[in-house]
Amino acid sequence: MYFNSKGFAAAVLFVSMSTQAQQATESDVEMIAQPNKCVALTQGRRCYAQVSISWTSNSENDICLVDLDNQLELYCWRSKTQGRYLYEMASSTDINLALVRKIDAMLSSDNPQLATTTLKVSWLYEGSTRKRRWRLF
Amino acid sequence: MKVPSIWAVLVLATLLSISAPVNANNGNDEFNWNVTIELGYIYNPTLIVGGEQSSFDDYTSVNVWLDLYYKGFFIQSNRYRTSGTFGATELGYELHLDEDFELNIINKNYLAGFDQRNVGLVVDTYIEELEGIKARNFVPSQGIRYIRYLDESVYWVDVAVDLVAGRHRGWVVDTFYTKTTEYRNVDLSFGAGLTVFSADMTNYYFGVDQDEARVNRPFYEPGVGYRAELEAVMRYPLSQDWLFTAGATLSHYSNSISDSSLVARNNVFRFKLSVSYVF
Repeated sequence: MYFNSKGFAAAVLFVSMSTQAQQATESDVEMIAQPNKCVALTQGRRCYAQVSISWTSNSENDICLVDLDNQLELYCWRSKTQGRYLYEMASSTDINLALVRKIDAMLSSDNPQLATTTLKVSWLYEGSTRKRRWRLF
Repeated sequence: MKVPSIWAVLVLATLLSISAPVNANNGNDEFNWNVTIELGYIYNPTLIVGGEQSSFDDYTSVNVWLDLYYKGFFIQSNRYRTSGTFGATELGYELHLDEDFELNIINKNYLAGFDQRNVGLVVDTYIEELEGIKARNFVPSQGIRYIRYLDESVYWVDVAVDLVAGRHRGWVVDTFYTKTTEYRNVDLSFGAGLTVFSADMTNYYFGVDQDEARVNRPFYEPGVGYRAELEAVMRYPLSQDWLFTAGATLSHYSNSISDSSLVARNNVFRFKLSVSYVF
């Protein structure tokens, strides 16, 4: 379930601190992105894909999925051992995603990444489309 | 030219996809090349009589496209490749190139050759309506191409004459405009073109000489003719190496051409679905 209210921040922080002994470590969390590749027709063009991101953990966690390149929080789960998120990819470069603990400074270096994945962008034709064949027959 | 069986090509394409280094843009600004193997279904009623598709091979499109560029000289494989002939490869030289336009010397076939046994299908066959005619060769014309680049679209004008082969000495003016729209990972292109052929050129391809005339094939001199075309193409990258293409072209030929007893129809609708391996 998604929650984003700052009003709960203190409570979340308390829960986080009190359950730290049971919190997931990097080895406890697995993340799978499907598909994890996106193919554009030409280099430099934005590539579109609907990516299913799922994760599992051995213990209940307050976890957030973040876009590391854009420093964006995409989605958060509270006290879950698994989660799934549909990510609408639209990028001309690789996208790096990570699962981190839900804390105030989620994207700080003090908050370890529990799992990471890269959505690769590739292409069929490099460079300009100008020299491509224009006619069907 | 006989084309190998569809299974042989499939196996070849699979092997190539496993073993070949993949690089769609092979080279640099001075030298680059591109090879594409295309396999697909084609609906291609021929302009010339006696070419109705019937066998599996007739509906199978197998092409090897070669594009090569070296210091201004280029080879582009383009039209009329469904019969497997290399006769339609465009040769050219870039006289001028900048962001907005190109000016090229071009050597290209603008009409497909045919003879009494082959009108563009894969397999040669006996065609009663064409018995005894002289072969119409792929005759390249030489001329100038002006290409203008606009936002997401391009148009060009070719003005060319049969200078080298001297088979008909006719001229041709070929214009085409195509606009490409991107929708997610798909390219959608819509094009329209007009090609005007001189009387010498239409007479060579669609005229009936006195020595070719029969009871059901009267003497005929077409005069100046034209072809107007509309085209729609969709391209989608299946992977880093494979491209899916679907498209259709409607070609309308002038009465001066379609009135020839060698010509089956004045509107030719062609349709193609294909997958291509891009090196």
